[in-house]
Amino acid sequence: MKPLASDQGNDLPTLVIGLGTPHGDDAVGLVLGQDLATWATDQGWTQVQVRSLRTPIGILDILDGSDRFARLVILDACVSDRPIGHFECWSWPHDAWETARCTGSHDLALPDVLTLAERLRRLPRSVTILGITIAPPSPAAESGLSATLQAAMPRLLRQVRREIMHDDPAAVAPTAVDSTFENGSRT
Amino acid sequence: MNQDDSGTRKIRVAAMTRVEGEGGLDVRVTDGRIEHVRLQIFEPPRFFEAFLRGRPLEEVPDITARICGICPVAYQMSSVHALEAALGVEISPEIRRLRRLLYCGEWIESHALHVHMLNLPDFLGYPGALEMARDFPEHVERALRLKKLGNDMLECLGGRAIHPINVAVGGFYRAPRRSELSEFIPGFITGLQLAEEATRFVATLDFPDFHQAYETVALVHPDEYAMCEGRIESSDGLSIASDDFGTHFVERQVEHSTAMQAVRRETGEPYLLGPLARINQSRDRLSPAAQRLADEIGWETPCLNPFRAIVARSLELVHVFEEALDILKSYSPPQPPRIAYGYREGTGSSATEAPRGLLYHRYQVDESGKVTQAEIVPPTSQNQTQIERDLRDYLPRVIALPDPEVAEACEKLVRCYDPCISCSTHFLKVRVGRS
Repeated sequence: MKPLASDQGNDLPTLVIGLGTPHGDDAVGLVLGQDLATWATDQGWTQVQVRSLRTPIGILDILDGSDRFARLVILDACVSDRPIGHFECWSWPHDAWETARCTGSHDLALPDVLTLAERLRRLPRSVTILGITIAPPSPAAESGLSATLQAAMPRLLRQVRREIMHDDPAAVAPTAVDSTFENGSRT
Repeated sequence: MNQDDSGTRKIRVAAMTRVEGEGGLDVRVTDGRIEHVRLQIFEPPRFFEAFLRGRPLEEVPDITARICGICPVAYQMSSVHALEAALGVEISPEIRRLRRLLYCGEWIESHALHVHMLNLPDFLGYPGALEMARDFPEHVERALRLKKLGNDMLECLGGRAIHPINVAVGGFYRAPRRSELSEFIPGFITGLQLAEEATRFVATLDFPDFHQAYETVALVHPDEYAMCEGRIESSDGLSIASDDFGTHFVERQVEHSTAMQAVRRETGEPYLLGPLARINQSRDRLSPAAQRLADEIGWETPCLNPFRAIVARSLELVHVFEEALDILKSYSPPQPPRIAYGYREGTGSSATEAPRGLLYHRYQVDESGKVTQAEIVPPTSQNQTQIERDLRDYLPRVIALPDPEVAEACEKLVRCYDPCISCSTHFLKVRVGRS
């Protein structure tokens, strides 16, 4: 079993959660999670557990307080002023998330879920949110990713792998070249 | 204090929190006299009844489930029972029990959420569950454990926790194996204990001494705590079949709300739905553990204090866990899981008890199985008129307070109803105007 960069000296796995719905580019977190799981299985990376969720509140069920994970990585679509496919990495907590709140009682927004998990002492010591910029979601979106995001997937997967396993050459070996987006943003 | 030159005081809650959907409250006070109290529901109308016209009747449970993410099962239950009435379909006792189990799952997830996360912060003095979690993590932990049990049940029986897809006219598309449901028993035994713990705690909260002369309306069944079947009965003596709902209840449009408001047709007066109404009218049909607990906490029937709805809701949590356990322990898969039927022209109606109260559906179908007319009367739109009445009667107690505190008091009262604005437009922000 290969150790992860964040887990050296720690046997606990990294939990990766792909967030999203199947509708259009909102599915990018789900698709990246699935692709990462496939890649990890192929590579024998057993210390990565990948789960898919439609809404953030399910994170509280997975993080049940049993200290099963060393790190939480969340893959999610986001809307920003950057180009579609832009890759952003935030460490939790972060000021940028203070204004992101949900308006209904049917669900909690990701920042609220993470805040609640923190207050309930359920959060792993490291939490990273990886956001991929998409066009503003539309109820009319068809299933499946747009051509723009589909083309960006190899580069996005490599960026995700780099964030999760950044000390392993196999994890970051390029499978496609997209110099425009390769470095993404880290805040 | 927001008071204009004419002396009119206007108190507004622009967008209420911890309710589902978007609505506000507008209060206007002149010379200390309350001019109006308006629940302003500005969530757009959703036109579900119109969407349903021309659709195959098989699509109705899945389309109506989309009205609400918290109580989709209620919409499915009222719709399938109404359509089965139109088609003359008789379901088997096994299908009936499985539907009650599914409804138990929905009541669990909905009641657990409202009791702990939406309503309890008001009584403990916190703006929300996030803030409450810092000092009272045990209540939030309990909420999450209870809600997960309900969600897991919905996922098992409904195919997924939100907007289930396994409910069919005539039964279920797939009935779970006995082993699938047996796995829930240990968790539901713990859930029952947690629900009892929650009830004992909320019964000790400080409640405003506020009592209303409600006409309570609920489904009543002779042999059980009514969920899917029974007669619509009121505390004023009304007892009707659901087919007669339209004879005694009427929806009306009001200028300040995109949701219809319902009143009693005979009197034009509002009425109360929900946990208080149900327990007031069917306390002796609660499960044994819920009845024992009601006695233990000194629950008085009838209870006409809307703030005590949190206790009623908790007692119902106990009830549904105990009933669910009974069904789980004796479950055998219905054979067949779905009763076959043929198309015929007809009209059918049904009322079932959604977590927030009575939900009425009526459908007309043609000989090809298409819906030609649909009518849906959700519990929140029925409770709106009573909420405005409650606020008008409660405001004199708090109107001397500064505007933000008046607005907060109003929001707390409204939240006791567990309103679902999205359902009703198929509702909050408070504004108080003083002169």
